[in-house]
Amino acid sequence: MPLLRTLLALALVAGLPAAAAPRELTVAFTGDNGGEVAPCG
Amino acid sequence: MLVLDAGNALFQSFGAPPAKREKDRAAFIMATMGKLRTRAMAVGHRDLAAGQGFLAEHAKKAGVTLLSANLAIAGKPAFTGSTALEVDGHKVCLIGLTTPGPVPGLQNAVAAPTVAAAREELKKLPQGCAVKLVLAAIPYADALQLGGELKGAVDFILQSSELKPPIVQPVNHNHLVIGGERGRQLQQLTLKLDGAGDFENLDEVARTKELLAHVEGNLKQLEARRKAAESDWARSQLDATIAEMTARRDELKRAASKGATQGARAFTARAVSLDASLGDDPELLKQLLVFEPTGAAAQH
Repeated sequence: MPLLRTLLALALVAGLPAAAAPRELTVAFTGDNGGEVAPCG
Repeated sequence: MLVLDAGNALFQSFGAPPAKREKDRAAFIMATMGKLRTRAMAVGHRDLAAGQGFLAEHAKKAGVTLLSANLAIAGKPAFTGSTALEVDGHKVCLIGLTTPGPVPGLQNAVAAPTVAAAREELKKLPQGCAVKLVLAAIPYADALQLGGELKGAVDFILQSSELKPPIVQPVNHNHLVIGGERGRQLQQLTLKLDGAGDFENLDEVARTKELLAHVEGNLKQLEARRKAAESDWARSQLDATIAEMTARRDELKRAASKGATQGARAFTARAVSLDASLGDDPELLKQLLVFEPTGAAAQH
């Protein structure tokens, strides 16, 4: 389910910047979900 | 970490008033985006199916800032065009854009051409932006043109996908990044903000170096075969191939050294597949099953 998995994916990647250099920024973004709340097909 | 959406998130179709169930579903999506701490999204045509008021109301509840620098309704700007967010001590400047032209099904709603609107909005951004991002709920071709015209005035154009897979593409002193198709992927950019000038794609540098190592390995093998060749014909064939491969190696060497410029800003990108390996959140799953009882969306 994309939205749920997005939540989990964000939790996974959120840990990454902690060990990174101070001048680093993580940007996560989605696009064109087109109203989908679950995988199609 | 900064979470964003490039738009076209809420409705499956547009141009006709949505049914109550579709509106409930869109409200659920926006509320969930709020829970995911999505800070801003561009306004796409698919987000406007239930009107400006519906979208603005649910975005406000969710704490998501809506952006469109080129959408006007009845001649007045419909949303804020840009914003600057403080994230982990960095000033991140964002501009939102909507597909130019009339918005289907929404009376008096027209989006102006994107390049001129973006140029105007850039003037409004504060000083000291660590990175300038465009959230582009616009077609791929428009996004490509935008990147070509704006050059280094922006760093990244984050485009709503149009069913395309996640892509990172250099354009003209900026990069076009596609988020992925219909919620199947999420793009993650790690920006290294030390330095100045254009952002360099470290993934590209790494790929070039891998390719260089591969070509150098092949060259060694060819040279060994050249030494062992027993006829003039075989030697001449191998000489020609070695010359071609040497030129390719030199080209890759130049590209690899150019890509690792000292003092340049840089980034890496990773497309996270939102598949079964990530599992589900039980609480959210309960709510989601109200809208998608089978757990899978309809074919489209």
